[in-house]
Amino acid sequence: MAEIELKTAPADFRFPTTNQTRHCFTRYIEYHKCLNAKGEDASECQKFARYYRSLCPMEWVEKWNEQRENGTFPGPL
Amino acid sequence: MVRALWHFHEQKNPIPQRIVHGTTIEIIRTIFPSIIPMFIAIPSFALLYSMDEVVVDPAITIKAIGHQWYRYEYSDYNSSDEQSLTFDSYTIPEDDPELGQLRLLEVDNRVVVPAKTHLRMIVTPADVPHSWAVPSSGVKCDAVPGRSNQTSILVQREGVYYGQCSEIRGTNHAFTRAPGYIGRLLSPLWLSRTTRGRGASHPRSKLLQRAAGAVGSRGARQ
Repeated sequence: MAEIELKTAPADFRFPTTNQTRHCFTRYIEYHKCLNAKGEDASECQKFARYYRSLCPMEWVEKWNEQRENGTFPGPL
Repeated sequence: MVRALWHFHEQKNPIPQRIVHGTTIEIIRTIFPSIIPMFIAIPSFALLYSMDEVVVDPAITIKAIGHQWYRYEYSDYNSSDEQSLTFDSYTIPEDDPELGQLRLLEVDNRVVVPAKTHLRMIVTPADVPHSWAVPSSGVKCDAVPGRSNQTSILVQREGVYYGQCSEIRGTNHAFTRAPGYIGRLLSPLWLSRTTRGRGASHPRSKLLQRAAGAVGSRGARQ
């Protein structure tokens, strides 16, 4: 059986504590900033996408996606 | 005490010294003991916060979303926002368990995790505060609305571990179960074999397929 590598969002030294709310939010913003800077199809941005999908509850992601579509997203995109 | 014994010794000091008060010493003996705990607190707080840090990068992240039940999401292999492996985990009612199952501990869909692997649990509630706890693994993590808490687990042995919600919210909430989860596999093969088609008939894949199927069939159950 071939070994596969399990990968997930790494521990970020900017967010060392139990509260990872800001970590999840920051990864989400980093992904969208990357998309805005490099275009929708940039493969470099997929790393951030994987990170925020691992860390953030899907309900939060859906809410933020809706807010972005409505133009009411509170973060710095 | 020794000083008192000397000063009140009848033969050595027949007229004992009368000490009424000493302002200086009283001030010193009040302030000095309150400085000592400050010196104890500084390394103690440093240790307390460092205990919560994640030292080793985890290999897998599992999200536990607290409702009256728990919903689990495995999102490490999504290629879009909609593709999480998500399932609900309900306690099996008292009149339903099969022979050998533990009353009010078993759940319909267990959380499956790899053994001997650092895993990160992200715990958050959908409504009110909860607390995700697995005592036999030494884990308890509060789920606070609007906040996402992480805790690290390393399951040393394969087996089934039972947990309970540790923040009681509503009817029968004392029986809300965190996982019955199975630490399985000594190699990280479990996810690839189970979700990527080639091992689709493998027994582990059936477990995760059943878990994935639970979203459609039981998602609305109260």
